[in-house]
Amino acid sequence: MTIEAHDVTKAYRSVVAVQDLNFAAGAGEVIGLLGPNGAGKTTAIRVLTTILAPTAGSFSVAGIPHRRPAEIRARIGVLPESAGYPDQQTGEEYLRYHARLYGQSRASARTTAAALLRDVGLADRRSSPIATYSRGMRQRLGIARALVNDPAVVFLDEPTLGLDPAGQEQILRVVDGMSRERAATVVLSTHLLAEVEKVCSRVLILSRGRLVADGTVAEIAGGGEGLSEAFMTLTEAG
Amino acid sequence: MGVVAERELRDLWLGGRGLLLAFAFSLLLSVLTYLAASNEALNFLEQRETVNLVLQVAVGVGGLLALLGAADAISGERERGTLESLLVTPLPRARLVGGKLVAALSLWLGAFVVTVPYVWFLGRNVGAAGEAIGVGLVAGTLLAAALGAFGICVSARARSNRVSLSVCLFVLLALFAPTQLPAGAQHGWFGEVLLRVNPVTAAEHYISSVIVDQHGWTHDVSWLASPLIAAVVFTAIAVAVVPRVLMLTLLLLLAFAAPAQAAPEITMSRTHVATRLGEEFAFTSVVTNRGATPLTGLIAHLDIVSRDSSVYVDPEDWSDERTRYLAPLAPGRSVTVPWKVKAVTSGRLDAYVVVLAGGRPTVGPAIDVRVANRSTIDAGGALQLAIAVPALLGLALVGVRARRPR
Repeated sequence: MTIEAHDVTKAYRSVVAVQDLNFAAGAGEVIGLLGPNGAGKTTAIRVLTTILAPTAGSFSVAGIPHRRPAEIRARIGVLPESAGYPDQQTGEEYLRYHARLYGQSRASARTTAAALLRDVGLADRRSSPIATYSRGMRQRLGIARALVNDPAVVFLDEPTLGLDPAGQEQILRVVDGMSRERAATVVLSTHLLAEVEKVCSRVLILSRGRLVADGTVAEIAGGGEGLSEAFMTLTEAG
Repeated sequence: MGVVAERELRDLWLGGRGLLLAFAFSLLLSVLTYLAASNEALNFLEQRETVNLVLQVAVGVGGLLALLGAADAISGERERGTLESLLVTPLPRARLVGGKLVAALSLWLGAFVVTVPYVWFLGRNVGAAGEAIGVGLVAGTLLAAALGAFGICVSARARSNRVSLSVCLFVLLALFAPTQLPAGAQHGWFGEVLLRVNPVTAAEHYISSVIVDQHGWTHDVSWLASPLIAAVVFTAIAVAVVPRVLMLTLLLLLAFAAPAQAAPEITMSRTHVATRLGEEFAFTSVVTNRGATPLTGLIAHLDIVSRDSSVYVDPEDWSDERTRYLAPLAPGRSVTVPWKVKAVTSGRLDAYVVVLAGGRPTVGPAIDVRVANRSTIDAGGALQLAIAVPALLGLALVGVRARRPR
């Protein structure tokens, strides 16, 4: 298993953002993390990516226990929610910089940046300042940045937020490629049920900090009511 | 050199911001030097006093630049949304902070390099140029290090970039305030203590002591104690404590910021529509406030795009009411928005709704719309047909009548 979470809880003083989160994921799985606003999706990702320490419980990512956060950070890729970008840098400079933050040499960083820009369809804009990129291009650049260290696990927090359908489609193709070609485990936090149905092999639904469903799309949408109706029922009940 | 320091220096100097500041600073020194050399009100100053004046300005402005550069270092990254991307890398936090500090100090060094020709010009005839450059570099670097490291500490704890810059500017003004005290107040024991513990006044006093009073470098070196102590203490805090505070501050900001960032949730009543050209279809979208604060300024807008790049779609033709202004939505409440659409283009299309909440757009799921073509009459040949058929029938009628037995 590349992710194992046991009773992970995160509280901000008296407010419990995530409570007793339990799940496991294997290599190549695309896990859809669903839930209404304030359900705890982003907090769960921030705990699993070691930005925040859990209040209780334990977890491991890529086989590394959460007590060794620096080692976990070396093996994961993250696209944070509402990620910002340095406007004055070019896409290539940005990726080379981040590759070097992971300890790559100048030559290796250059090779990594060129390959990733090609993978996400930005090779022809490699020398353009990020300020000139559209929102969709920035999101693809952010995904490329999350892959500079060839991670075992990739966390994407709302990667399609604010994109038009064509932009959403492009992002989903890149996500699909991560699991198929790189065998990476992908945790995809989203509001959009349609994209979960398209790319996710499993779905976790959070409501008010608690995990209320864990299964395949077919299992959760069982009974013919559809994922949308199941989601509404589960989150209303939660 | 560290990766972060290298990147920061490139962004600062090759990005042009550092050079712009250096250019503006050179204009200031040019005006000051020209007036000092030519203006009757200023050129009464003894030549060493003029060198001292320019050097004091350089140290003051250089320290200000280092402080402001550092004040933006962490809070600026946080506001631009780039801090979290750095924190999820395995880079040690101390190296991140150290790289930022080096970039801030480079602003002081840039200002000092700009100052050198002015100091040389003013001090060349009295043999003060060399010692002015040396003493300015030592005192100014200690002061810039103290102010830069202090700026990093403030920037890490401040909840916004504006707060960080305001606090730093206020502190710098407070440190410069004793220089405005009457001369009498500066000479008593209390005045001297005040000047000695203040790194800014202590550094400037030391420079004056060497340049104007022509004391040896070691004569008043005790005046450099407070700039040195401030530099060491604040640098230690910046490199050892700030990395831990960085995480704590981010955590608190995330906890308090989360409710304000709530976006509306949009669901659609249909996922697929199959229709024919010219026919109308309807659907609804439900906008829900899942956040903890009311959503205001809500505008729902319908858009339609073709998946075929060669097919142009003008959404105005599809619906004459595509924009709806919605009432504020309390936490947990929903509003249902009906949409009525006429299919005017055949093919595979997507219909989706964007909701702006306070100017921030959220896109709902797209409806897969398949519009089948409708067979229509080809106008070509209609006239011939319209004439030929009655003509043929007329001829037939005439023929029939002619053959009818009478």
